[in-house]
Amino acid sequence: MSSHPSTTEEIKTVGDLPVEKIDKTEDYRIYAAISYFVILIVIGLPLWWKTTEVYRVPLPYTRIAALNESDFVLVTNVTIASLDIDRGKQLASDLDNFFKTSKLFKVHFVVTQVQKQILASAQSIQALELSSVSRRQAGDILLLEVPGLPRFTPSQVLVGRRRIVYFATDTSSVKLTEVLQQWLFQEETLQRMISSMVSPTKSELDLAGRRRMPTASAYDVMVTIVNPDPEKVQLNWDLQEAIENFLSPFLRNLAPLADYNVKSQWLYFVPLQVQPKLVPEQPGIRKHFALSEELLPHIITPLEKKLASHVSQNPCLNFVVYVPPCSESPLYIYRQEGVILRGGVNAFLSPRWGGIIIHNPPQDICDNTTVVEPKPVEADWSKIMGTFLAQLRLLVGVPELDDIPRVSMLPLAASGMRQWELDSLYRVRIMEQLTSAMLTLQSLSQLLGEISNIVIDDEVGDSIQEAVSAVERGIELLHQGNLLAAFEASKQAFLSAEAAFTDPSLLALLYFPDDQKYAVYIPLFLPVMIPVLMSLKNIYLWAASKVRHKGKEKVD
Amino acid sequence: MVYSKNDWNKLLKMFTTVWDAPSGPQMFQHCHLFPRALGEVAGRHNVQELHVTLTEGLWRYEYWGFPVSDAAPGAELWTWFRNDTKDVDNIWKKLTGALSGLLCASLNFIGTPNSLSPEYSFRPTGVVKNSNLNSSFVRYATLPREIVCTENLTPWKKLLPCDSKKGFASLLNAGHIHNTNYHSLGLHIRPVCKDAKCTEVSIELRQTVSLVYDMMILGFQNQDWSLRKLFGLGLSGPCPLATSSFIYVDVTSNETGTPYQLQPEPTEVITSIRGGYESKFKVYNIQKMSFTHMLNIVATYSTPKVYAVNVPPVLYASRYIVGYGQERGGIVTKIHNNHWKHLDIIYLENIPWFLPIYLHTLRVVAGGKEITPILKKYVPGKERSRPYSLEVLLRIPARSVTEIYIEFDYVFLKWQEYPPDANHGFYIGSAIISAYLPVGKNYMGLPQAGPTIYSSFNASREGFLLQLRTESLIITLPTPDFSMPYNVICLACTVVALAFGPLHNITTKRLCMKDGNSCNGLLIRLKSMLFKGRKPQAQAH
Repeated sequence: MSSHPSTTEEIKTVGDLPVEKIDKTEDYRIYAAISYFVILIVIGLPLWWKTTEVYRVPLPYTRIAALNESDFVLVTNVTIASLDIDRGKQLASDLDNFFKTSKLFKVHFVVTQVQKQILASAQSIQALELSSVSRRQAGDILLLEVPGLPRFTPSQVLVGRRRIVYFATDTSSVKLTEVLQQWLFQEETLQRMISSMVSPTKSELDLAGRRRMPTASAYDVMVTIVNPDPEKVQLNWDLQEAIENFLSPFLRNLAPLADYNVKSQWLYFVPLQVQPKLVPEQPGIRKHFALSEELLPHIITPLEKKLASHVSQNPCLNFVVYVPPCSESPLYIYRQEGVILRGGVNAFLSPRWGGIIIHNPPQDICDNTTVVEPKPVEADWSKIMGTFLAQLRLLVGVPELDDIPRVSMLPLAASGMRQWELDSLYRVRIMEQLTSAMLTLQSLSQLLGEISNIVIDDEVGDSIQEAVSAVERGIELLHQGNLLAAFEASKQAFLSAEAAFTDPSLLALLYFPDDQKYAVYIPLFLPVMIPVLMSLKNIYLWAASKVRHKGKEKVD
Repeated sequence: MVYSKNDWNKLLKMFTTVWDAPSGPQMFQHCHLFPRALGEVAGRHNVQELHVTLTEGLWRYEYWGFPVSDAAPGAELWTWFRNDTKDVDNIWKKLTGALSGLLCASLNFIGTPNSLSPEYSFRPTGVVKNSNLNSSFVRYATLPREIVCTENLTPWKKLLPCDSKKGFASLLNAGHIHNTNYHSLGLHIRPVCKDAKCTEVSIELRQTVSLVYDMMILGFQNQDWSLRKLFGLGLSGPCPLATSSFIYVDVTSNETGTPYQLQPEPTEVITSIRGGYESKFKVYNIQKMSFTHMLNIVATYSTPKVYAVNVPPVLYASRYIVGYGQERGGIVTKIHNNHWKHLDIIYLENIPWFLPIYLHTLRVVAGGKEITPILKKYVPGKERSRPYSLEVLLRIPARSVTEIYIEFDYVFLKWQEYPPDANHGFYIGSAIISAYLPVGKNYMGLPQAGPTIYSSFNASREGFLLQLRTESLIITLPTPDFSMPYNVICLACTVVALAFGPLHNITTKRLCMKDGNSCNGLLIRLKSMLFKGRKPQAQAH
């Protein structure tokens, strides 16, 4: 068999076939080789490549990358209401200068004049709170000059329960800036949170951020009563009613931010698992048991296995009431050697987990030998639930504010939440959700770029698109100063981004290794491709000779 | 509650624990004694009734009589969903997933492809709002291959309010439970009436354990038993949260069989007449006893064991596979009726989708005579989506053995559908035989209204609802060589390549004579190159 080409000049005849005929069959052979090449290489290979390709929806990579450049700016309207319009304008320009350097906040100051009658007719700050001037849009703040503020309070500046800051006439703009920055806007907390999310290794959260539960669309709140020895202590408490009276009004306030499902349970025979130290009776000190603060984490561990839910995927806030039996009471938490926890509150908070309160049975019942075991113990609900509410505020994200001299705020109402606190909570959540959505989208797009085996189906593609546009919309709404709508957008962005990132379909082909693919294809491709590629040489020589032939003919 | 019975050298202990919880819209949000983990699962999935059993071993009806609560080998789960449930299949899948996490069992493998909705066999055991029952809200599934072990016992104990720290649950130590002949854990949730008028409904949870000990296997020389021998330790006291705690010891056989003495003396002796049969129980009221040291109930036999002729119960069944080869087979179920009158039974066959059965081959034969079923309800299976479900209503004649026979095909599965260790075989769940017994002999089941053993005393009714589970079967499906797909690919590719080579050559190349002089083939060129190199060396020699 000869594979080298033979031109017509060299061979005149083969057998009986005339030269013309040989020429023809030779051409047909070359056409056949060409058609093999076309079918297998030109059509077959791309077809194979296309049909075995991983399905991927086109993603908005450029828009995701652009999110990084866009800056989150919280636009806030602050109205300064002053008796003297000039003084108000002066104050506004001073405050404006202070806030120019702010990276996150862009504050618009509006100056208005208030009628003296409104202020004069008000008998107390409470009355002003309820008057029509107090109604503000979410996120906005009214700085109201009250000439006779010293009548009501020794402070110079008083922060109300709604979105109003009352200040005396002699208040400096520095003090007002301080109040706005530290209490109402809490810019540093926001910035710490964002930087810790963007570069978690470099920066740390502040105390408030560490306590705050991570963002989620719904939370479970579980109240657990632990009775380690029901043979000695009997609790006939109406827990359900207490929750309804104390916790529910507060949680109803938070409903726009997230859903809270309250659950409760009773646990028996769950011991502390740490041995409290017995402090013997001394002059002035009764016999009691001491639980040092370092041991507190060990209390949570044995409880943990009874607190998990097999159904709910929401993060859970746990509140535990522990009632020690008489033989181990009173039990006190010690902050350090010899110092009982401040304020006589026998409770502690575990950041991002919940709180535990130790409810000692009353001494007179324990000492009274006529009361037979199990001894009935009554609940001090206002103390228990008051502690839980304070802990819940911290866990939800309302921080404990640093004191500013000569600045105070009105005490909490029954609802347990001030409106401006709610606003700053909105800001925290918007920032957290937008940053988280942005980071999730960026890491997802990076991941998809790096690993080509990941399938992106329509559903994932849709949620990515949705998340991107929700982030863009959220940023836009923040620019408009619409806090509530921005929150909704950020929530949607966060949820869509999470849904896209955790979609199980992404993993479908991830563990399909390349070597297996080749092991399957090589037995077919190698034996077929070698002759086809080899015939290329023949085709080339044939085509070259044709060209030469044509050239010669032309010359002739 | 503990129940103990001595029969045929085997001992049965049974715990029933009942917690009532008020029913309402927020039913499972706030839990006191009711385990919150289970309550959340039931509440979230719109469950009206839930019955889970995890069983190791087979209940031998022929020798042991009827159990208090019946269970199929492996895991068994059946649930009634509330009437307003939408998308039952989906919620059923979620429920099994949640229960699987709760009980550490592989219940998550239950889904629509292996679940039935029987029309007659499973009726709600609790209160229902309207008697208009729609069987599309019931789901039943078994996992006969499930192995029950310590990891199931621990979460089961955790559901009790006293955990395993106090009360009867403190007796349940894994080491002494898993060497029994039979053990079964159960969870049963159902709605019950709160008062006699049934104006309010509450939820009842029954947690059961059934254990059968064989003292001979355990290595004791005699048949004497005691709490310490069986559980490794005595009872330290009742659970303080319980309203009642009793131990019952069945002493009926003392009068007919080998008598035994109980130490300490019981607080009470109860004679119960039920369905025409009298039984005697010795009762220990744990709450009234003083616990200076651990309670250990000891039974001592005065005479050595005498093996008498076994008197089987009124109704029992057995099942096996017939046929040969790897193409066709059949399942035979033998139902023994020892009653003097005919009995009406419902037979439920639960056949997985990979075992197609043929309804026309169904034959029911009793004493050589064919019986026509009163009613047949057949839901044909669908590959990979629905099992075969067959319910047959039969009237089986008095003192007879009825044979139910049906044929099936062995099929090939897709290679990914074979379980690990495919040559072990495939399990087929038990068939269920439901009957309404007219006599109370050997019957220990609880009456519908009562949750505790106590309520079964003197509870004579018109009939006694009995459900029997047959053996689960194991069959070997044709199992392929699992490296086959790769071999097939390689072989097919080689064949294609072999065919392609000559075809390509014939169509693109020409066979021609070669000039002897022009030797410019690759091999010849190589040779000449080699020789070129060697020639000067050779000349040098």
